[in-house]
Amino acid sequence: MRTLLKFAFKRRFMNKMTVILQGIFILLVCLIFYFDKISDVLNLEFNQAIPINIENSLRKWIVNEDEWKTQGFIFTNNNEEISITKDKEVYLISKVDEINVQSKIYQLLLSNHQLRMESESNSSVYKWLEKYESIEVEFLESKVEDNQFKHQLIILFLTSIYFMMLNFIAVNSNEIIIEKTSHMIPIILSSVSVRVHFITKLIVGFSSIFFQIVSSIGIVGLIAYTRYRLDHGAGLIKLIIRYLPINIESISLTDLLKLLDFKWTDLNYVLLGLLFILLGIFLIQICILILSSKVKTMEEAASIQGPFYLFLLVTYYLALSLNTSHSLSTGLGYSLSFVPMFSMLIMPMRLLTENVMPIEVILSILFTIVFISLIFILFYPVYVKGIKN
Amino acid sequence: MLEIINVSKYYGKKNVLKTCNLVVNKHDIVGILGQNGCGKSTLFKSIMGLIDYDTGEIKYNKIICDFDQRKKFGYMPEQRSLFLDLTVYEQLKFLGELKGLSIEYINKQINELIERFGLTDKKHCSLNKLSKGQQQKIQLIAAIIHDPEVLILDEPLNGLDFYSVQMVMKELKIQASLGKLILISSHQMDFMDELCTHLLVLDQGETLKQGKLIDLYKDYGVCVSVNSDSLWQGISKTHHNLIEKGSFIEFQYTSLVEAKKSMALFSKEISITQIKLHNVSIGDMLKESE
Repeated sequence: MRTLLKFAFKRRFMNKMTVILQGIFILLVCLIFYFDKISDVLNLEFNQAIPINIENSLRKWIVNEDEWKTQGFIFTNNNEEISITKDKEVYLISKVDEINVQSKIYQLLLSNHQLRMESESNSSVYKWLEKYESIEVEFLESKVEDNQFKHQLIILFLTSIYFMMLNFIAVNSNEIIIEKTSHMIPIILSSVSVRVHFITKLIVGFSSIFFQIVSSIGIVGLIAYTRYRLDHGAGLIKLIIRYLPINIESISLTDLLKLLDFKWTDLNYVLLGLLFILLGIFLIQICILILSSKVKTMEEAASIQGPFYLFLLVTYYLALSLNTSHSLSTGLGYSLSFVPMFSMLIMPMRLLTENVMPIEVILSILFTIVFISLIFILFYPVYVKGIKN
Repeated sequence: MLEIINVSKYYGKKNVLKTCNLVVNKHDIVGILGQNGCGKSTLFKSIMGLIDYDTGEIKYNKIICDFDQRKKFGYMPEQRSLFLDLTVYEQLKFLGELKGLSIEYINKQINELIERFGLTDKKHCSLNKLSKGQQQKIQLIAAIIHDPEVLILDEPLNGLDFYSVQMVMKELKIQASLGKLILISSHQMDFMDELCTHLLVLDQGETLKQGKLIDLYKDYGVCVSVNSDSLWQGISKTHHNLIEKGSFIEFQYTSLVEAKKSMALFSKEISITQIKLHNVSIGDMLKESE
C-alpha cells in the first residue's frame, strides 16, 4: 500500500501542472492582498478618492471629515464632481448614480447628523435618552455573540474550503479511469489486493484534499503576513470598506483582528465545521469511487461527477437559504443538520449561529459515520466486481 | 504444480469457459491456443484472480490459489499496460516496489533484464518514445522482475519483430529451464511450435485438444517437406495430402514407414533438391481440428 500511496502522491503533486496551478494560486492571493498597491502602481482608479463638491455652509457643518476620507471621499470645489447642497431640511445630491456610493453618502450624512445632534443635546437629556434606549445585559451561560461580521467571515472561510474540496472530489474517479484505460488495473491487482487498492484510493483522495487545504491556508497566511509586515494592510482595508458592503471601523489588519475578537472557542467551531465538511466529502468520495469502478470509457467518466457537483451546489444554496435563526433551530435546517451529506455544511452554520448541544453534534457525526459504514458494507462488493471486470 | 480443475466462467448467460482442466508442472511451457474469443484471456484472468470464475478450482502446489499464492505469479496482459508518461526505470521500479521488492534487488533486476532484452540505452527513456515492440519487452520484464514461479503471458509476442521474438523465446526457455511454469498464448503458431512443451486448444470455451506436444504430434503422424526444380503440379493429383508452403511442398503421413515408401516413389518422378522430415505444425494441427 505504501508504494501505491507514494506513487499516487508523486504523480499527483510532483508534476509541472501542479506547480503551474500553485503558481497561479499564489499570484491570485498576492493580487488580492496587494490589490491597493497594484492599483496604485498601475494608476487604476480603484484607490483614488471620489471628489465631492459640498457648499461652504454645509462644509462647516461636517464634523466627521475623517470618516468621509476613510470611506474614500475628498471634498473639493470642482463643479464637475458630485455635489451636495441643502434645501431646508433636504440634502440634494447630484451626479451620483451608483447605489453603493449613494448608500455610503447617505450613511455618512446620517452619521454626521447624529454626531451634531448628540453634541447639541442637553447632556442630561442625552444621557437619559441613551439609558432609555438601551440596557446592558451580559449572558453568562450563553455563547451567542453579536459579532455578525466574524460569523460571516467564518462562513466565508468554510464555504471557500467547501468549494476547494469540490475540485478534488473527482480526483479518485479520474485516477481509477486512467488506471482502467491504461490497462494498469490487472497489473496492479496482481500485486495488491482489491481491498488495499480501495483503501489506497480513499487515503490518497482524502489526503489530497487535506494537503490542498493546508497548503492554501499556508499560502494565504504567508501572503497576508507579508502584507501585515509591510503596512498592516492599511490601504487594503480602506479598499475593502469602500467597495464591499461591510461596515467596519478598522483601518488596518490589526484593527480588523481586534474587531473580530477571535477566541479559542471560535477555533473549535471552525475545526468542528471542517470535520463535518471532511466527513461529507469522504462520504461523497466513497460513492464516486464505487461508481467509477463501473466506468468503462472516458465518455462515461466525464458524466460521473455531474450529479455530485449538482448535489453539492444544491447543498450550498440550501445552506445559504436556511441561514436564519428560525430555520436552523427548529425548521428544515435543524433536521438536515443530522442528515449525512447535508450536515457537512448545515451543521457548521448551526454551530456558528446558535447554541448547539454537544449531543446534537455527536449524533450528527455518528449518523454520518454509520451511513459511511453502511455504504461501505453494501457497496464494496460492487467496487470489487467493477474493478475486476 | 498448477492445477486448473473444472473451471467454468459465464458472462451473463454466455459460457465463455467450459469445465477447463489443466495441469502444469515445473519446466513446462503450455501454449494456450484458439481463435479470438475462445476463452484464453478469461482463463488467464481466472488464474490471476482478476475475475471470479463460477465453478471449479485453481490450485498451486495443492493449495487453492489466493492472493498470497498469486504473489508468486508473474502476469503480462494482452493489452499494453504501462503508464506511458513514465520512464522505463520509473515504471519497472514502481512495479517492483508494488511487489514488495527491495530497491537494491529492483535495481539489480532492472539492469540485468534490460541488458538481456537489449534495452540498456532506453533505461531513462520515456515509455511513449519507445516502439511498440520495445514497450512489449518492458511489459515482459515487468512480469518477471520479481522472479516469479509461474508466468502467465497473454500474447507476449504481439508486435515483436523476428529478432525480438527470438530474444523473448530464448528468455522464456531460460525461465522454463530454471523450473518456472509458463502459460503462454499467441497467434504466432510457428514460434509456438518451437517454444511449447504442452498444448491446450480452446474453441468457444471448450477444450478441443490438450496434452504434451510430443504426444499430440503422434496423432498427426509426420510431415515431409520437399523442394524441387521439377514441375510437381501433376503429382498433386495422386497426393491428396499435399500442402504448398512457399518453395516447399509438404506431405503428411500417418507414420514414418509410409513417408519413406512414398518418398522413394516420389523421387523417381521428379528430382528433389531439398528434403525435410518434421512434425505437423501446430498451425496445421489447429486447421485440422476446425
